[in-house]
Amino acid sequence: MITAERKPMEEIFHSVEPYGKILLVGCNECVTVCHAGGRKEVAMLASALRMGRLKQGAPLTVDEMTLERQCDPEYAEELALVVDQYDAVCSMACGCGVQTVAERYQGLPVLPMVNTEFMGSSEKNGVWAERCAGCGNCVLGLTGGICPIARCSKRIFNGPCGGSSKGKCEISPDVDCAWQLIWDRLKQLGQTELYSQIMAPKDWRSARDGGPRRIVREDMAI
Amino acid sequence: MNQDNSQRTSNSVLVLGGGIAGIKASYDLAEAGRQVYLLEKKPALGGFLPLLDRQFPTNDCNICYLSPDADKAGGARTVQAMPLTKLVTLEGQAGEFNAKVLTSPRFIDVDRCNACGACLAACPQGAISFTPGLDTSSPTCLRYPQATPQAFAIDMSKCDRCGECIKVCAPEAIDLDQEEVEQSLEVGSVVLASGAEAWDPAPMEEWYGHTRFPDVLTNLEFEQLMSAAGPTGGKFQRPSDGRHPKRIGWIQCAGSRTTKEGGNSYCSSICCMISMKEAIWAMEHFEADLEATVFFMDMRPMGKDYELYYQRAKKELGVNFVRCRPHTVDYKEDTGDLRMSYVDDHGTMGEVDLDLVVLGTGFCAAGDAQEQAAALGIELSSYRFVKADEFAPVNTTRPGVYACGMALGPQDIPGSLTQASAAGCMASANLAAPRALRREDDLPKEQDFSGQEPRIGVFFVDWGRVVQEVVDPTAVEEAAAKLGGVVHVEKLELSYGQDGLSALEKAISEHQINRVVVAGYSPRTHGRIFAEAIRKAGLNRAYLEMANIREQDALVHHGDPVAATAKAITLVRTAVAGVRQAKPTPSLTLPFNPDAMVVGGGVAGMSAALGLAGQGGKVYLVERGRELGGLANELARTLDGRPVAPELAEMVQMVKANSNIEILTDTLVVDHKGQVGSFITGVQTGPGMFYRQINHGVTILATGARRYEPTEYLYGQDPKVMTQLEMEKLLASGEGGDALDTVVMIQCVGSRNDDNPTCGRICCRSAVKNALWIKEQKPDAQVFVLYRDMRMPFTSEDAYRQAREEGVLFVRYSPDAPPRVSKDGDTMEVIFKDHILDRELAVEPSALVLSTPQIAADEDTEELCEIFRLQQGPGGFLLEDHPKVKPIDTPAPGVFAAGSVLAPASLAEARTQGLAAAGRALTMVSQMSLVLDTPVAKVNGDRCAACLICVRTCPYGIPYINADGYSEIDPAQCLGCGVCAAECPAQAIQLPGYEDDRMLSRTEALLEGVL
Amino acid sequence: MSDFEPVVVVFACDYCAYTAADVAGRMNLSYPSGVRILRVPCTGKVEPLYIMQALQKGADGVLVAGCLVGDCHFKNGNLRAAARVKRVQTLLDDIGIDGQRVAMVNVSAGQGAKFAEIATEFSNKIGEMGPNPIKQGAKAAA
Repeated sequence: MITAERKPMEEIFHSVEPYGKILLVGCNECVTVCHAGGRKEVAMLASALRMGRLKQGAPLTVDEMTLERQCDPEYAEELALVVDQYDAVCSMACGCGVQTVAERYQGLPVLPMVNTEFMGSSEKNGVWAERCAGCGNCVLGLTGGICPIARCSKRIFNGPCGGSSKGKCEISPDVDCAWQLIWDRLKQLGQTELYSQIMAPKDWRSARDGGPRRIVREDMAI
Repeated sequence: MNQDNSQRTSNSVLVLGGGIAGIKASYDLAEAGRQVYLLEKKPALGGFLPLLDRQFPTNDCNICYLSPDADKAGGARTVQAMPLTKLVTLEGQAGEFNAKVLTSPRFIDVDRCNACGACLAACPQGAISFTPGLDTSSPTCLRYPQATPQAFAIDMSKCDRCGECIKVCAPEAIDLDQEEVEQSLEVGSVVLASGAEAWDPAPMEEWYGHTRFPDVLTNLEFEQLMSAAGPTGGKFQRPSDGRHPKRIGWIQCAGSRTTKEGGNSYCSSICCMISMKEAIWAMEHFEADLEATVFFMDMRPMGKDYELYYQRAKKELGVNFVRCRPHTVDYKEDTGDLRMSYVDDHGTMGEVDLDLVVLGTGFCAAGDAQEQAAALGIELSSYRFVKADEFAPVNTTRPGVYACGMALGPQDIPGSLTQASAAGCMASANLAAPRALRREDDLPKEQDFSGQEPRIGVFFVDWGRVVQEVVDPTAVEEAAAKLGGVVHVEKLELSYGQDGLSALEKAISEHQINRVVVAGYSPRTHGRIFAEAIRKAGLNRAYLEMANIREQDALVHHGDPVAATAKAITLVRTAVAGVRQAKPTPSLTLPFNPDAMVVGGGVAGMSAALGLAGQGGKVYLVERGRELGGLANELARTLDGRPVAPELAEMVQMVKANSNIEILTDTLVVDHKGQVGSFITGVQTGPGMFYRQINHGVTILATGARRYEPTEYLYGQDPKVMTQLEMEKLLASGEGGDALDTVVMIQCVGSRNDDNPTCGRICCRSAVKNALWIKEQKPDAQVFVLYRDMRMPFTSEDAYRQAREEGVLFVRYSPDAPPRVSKDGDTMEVIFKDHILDRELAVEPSALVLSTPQIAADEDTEELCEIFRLQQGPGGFLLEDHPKVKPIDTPAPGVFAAGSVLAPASLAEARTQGLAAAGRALTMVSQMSLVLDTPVAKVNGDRCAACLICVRTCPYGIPYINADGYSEIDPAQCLGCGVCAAECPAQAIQLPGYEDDRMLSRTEALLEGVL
Repeated sequence: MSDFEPVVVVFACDYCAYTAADVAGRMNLSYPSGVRILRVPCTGKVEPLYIMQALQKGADGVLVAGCLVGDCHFKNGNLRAAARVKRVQTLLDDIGIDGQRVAMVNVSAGQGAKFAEIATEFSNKIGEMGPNPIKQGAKAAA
């Protein structure tokens, strides 16, 4: 899932400062699950904005709406009927949702209310951790199911580095050394020979380095 | 089973005593569709429980638990609570008793009294105290803030008839000329739950000085001192000079285990736990530097897992324990403190100065026990408690009359509740089939208001002088009439009986009211009454909202009528705003299969099967082994010398002869699914392990425990070393007794140690039993019992005393220096330290007997837990729903447990628990269908993001993601706390009554005009 | 500020705090009339949004009152409520409203006196803090 966190209130107030009436739009997918931009968070931010602006003596009208999935144009279309009434649309979706809405409503400011963080999984209730960096060329099959790009601070392919100590990363004793995890898991799997193979330098063109990426399914994109 | 003359009587039970046991028995019976008359001598229900500030072992506040139950018992239509009432005579026989009962005048009409407290304030003597103090003898007395019934009473011996109270009583409830009333009740059974009395230390004044020294308190007095509702308002002060006590000593066995005059020779069983709890609570709550010391002879924490509580008190919480024989308490003039002298473990005199002394006083039979026994026609034991029997532990000597709680002897709360459920089960066996319970079809059809505008009726109920002096009724009524949706405003007087409710029902139909606001009482005390009333008028129970004008306005803002009136308007507006948004809560009706499955064919399981058979549907009794009887098959006799085998054989015979019981021996439970009312359990049965599915509505687990196989003290290596059970077998065989010249018994083998920290509970009694038996067979045999604490509850203390008198030597050992056993060729030697002689002794025993515990049948219990979705407690035994208030229920609705699967149990306990489990099951089995109408969380599948938050946060693990990919919450299991709704990020879950829009409407109305 | 009478909304759980408030009434204790109680089944049902809405509608302070720690009728609803109150406090601080206007308290069902004491103390504290700052803004804007 894509994770996000609400932006600091100060930044939010600053970005909506010019406006008197905004539409706050949530998304019922990833940001709902990570408690950043679902229906409830929309209501919370709306309430905070109203109060904050009232305190400043410059009331702000905030209407609330939550789309099923902001990153699909069909769902974004649902805003069409009402959007004209507002000075700006404030999106609580991830960057994909913000852009989908911005692309559809060209004449209207579309402002992000959350910082999109990472692709991660839920460790337990209320805790999410980074698991995938979207590099475009998955190596998990060689690394015991633990990603050296997303989970090693240095993203090194032939680790660990000298900073690994007692299974922890040198950046913080709270961060596991990904390569320690990889080694432990490979041992458990009886695949330690995979560890002794030197991995060639990664071709980062499959990742962001090759420019913005698209996926086109010819059989579907008719 | 009985020939009833009239439909009404055959379904009725008379319960004597409104303490926790009586309330529990009444409530169980009422739930099972019985009519109950609940008699209480005192003005309010509650018994001892409200006098205790906290309860061991959970250290919960008990009032929270009692008052809802007392409220249910008092409020349920089929329980008629009759305070100030006693039994005069009981004629007839089981199934058709005629009871004459006498109700003393309260001088206050309960139906009219609204517990406003005006009389209390007006009584000129100023002696009236609302706060239950150390002195509970005030003229009008509401014994604790949540008392049921909610009414005062006047003690005529204190009243000088000045009439001040009459002047101030708005509902005109006071009648100083009230007279006593005699009634005759037709009942099928009687349950005696009249409790005991706290032992009064006066006869032992010369030792304890309770009367002379204000800082010597009994444990119940100390509870009041700690109570937030007590005389010091929760401030921790000693009575003499108000100083904070720093050194407190608890003296155990005050008046118990003594042959001194004025005391009792039995053990009061629960005082050790009470004192420990008080010491812990005082330390945790009041003074970190408090020096709390318990002076004791043997610590006897005898209930399930109580030993763990003791160890924690000693090792973690810093309570001091001094083993000694407390002697006298003296007063020191110079410091104003107390000095206690004692004889310690080594026989040396010791002295200690204390700021406060708490007497661990026990309990004794009620003063009127004899009179009551005569009225009932039952026999009492020599201690004036009800005479019961190991094999019929809740029966009295008169058929049809049963007993529970402290009437049978000092008893902790789980024990009392268990006996209450057992007595309820026995009592209902004498009755005709239960009357069909209140079902939705007996009520008028609920009207459908969907799509209709709200037509709200606002009813001002019982605005007596207390309210009207503070809140201006006219202003509030006018304001209410102007609120949107309000079509009718009316004043009602509920206190004059049922007329008020009929008027409400009439107004609803006359004015086509579809939503109701009741302004006056708290929803906590009166919510149910009005919900039922509007349901009777054809409205769904959810179309009600209450404005708490009494407790949360008039009574707290009495100094400011203007503000109180404004607040009353606000509260009414809020209730109207809330009820405007009310949506009907559909009541869920589930068909209920009356058949039951009992797993385990030991004493507990057979008792449960016999308790249920004939009262519900069919009982499937599943036993893994070939024979019924369980561990009891290995017992030869009881502590008082009665043979077990004939009793057990009779019980097995009764089970086999009962046509309602299907016995499945050689049978294993392999799977279990469904929910209460419709369980399906798969078993493999017979030598061929044939698979079969059984449908049933309730389940009772009684799979027992297993014997600990000792590895200590050369067990298995020398034939002279045996367990108590093996010794019992040897004694029963009649051979070998002669050879027993010297017998050494070692207690706590395999218990109270690191591997098994729990207490075996019954091994002390086994040791004393066998020691006496050895002495019986060979009087000159020398018997040593090496023990840590002798734990002999209630009258088993007498057997312990008898054993000492017959020359059995009890020698205490410390766990740091346990006895040693050595063997050289054929010679075996036991070496142990005698504390009094302070030297080591060596004995060459002809038999070494190890007192080993029953321990959890670990793997079996684990498997059982997996199949039935239950949990194991610290010792591996099955975990009950609540150790204090639901000792027989499990967390899974419709699944109950009994016997040593819960904890090591004696025969009487196993029998009682089996019956209790049956009694608890009957509360469900007797219902044709299960109607659920409490609000339960509802999921809007369209909004659900299947994020799992509800699944993870529900305290009971009820939500799950269904096959359609959204969260589903079983309405039969949800308890309605609303945590899932609060956590749901998609606002997909709503709790009826507390929906987001409804909460917002209430908030807006509550704050209208503020901005 | 002497004529300022704060309005405090109390979300009180049915099992303990609401009962304690009833007990306070039956004991004839008193607390400021600006203290207004809303009943909830458990403080675990009190959503951060409810607290925000109360303040937004003009409450000067909000109390969330649950059972004593360890005594929650629903196991741990009161602990969840306490954690949510902390989160709301931070958010309020961020939008320029003192987070101390919101508090979590624990009382048992029998503690009527404690309830009255807490309600009075909290109301006094809010009295010292002054009115909910959005009131002034609302007036200025109107």
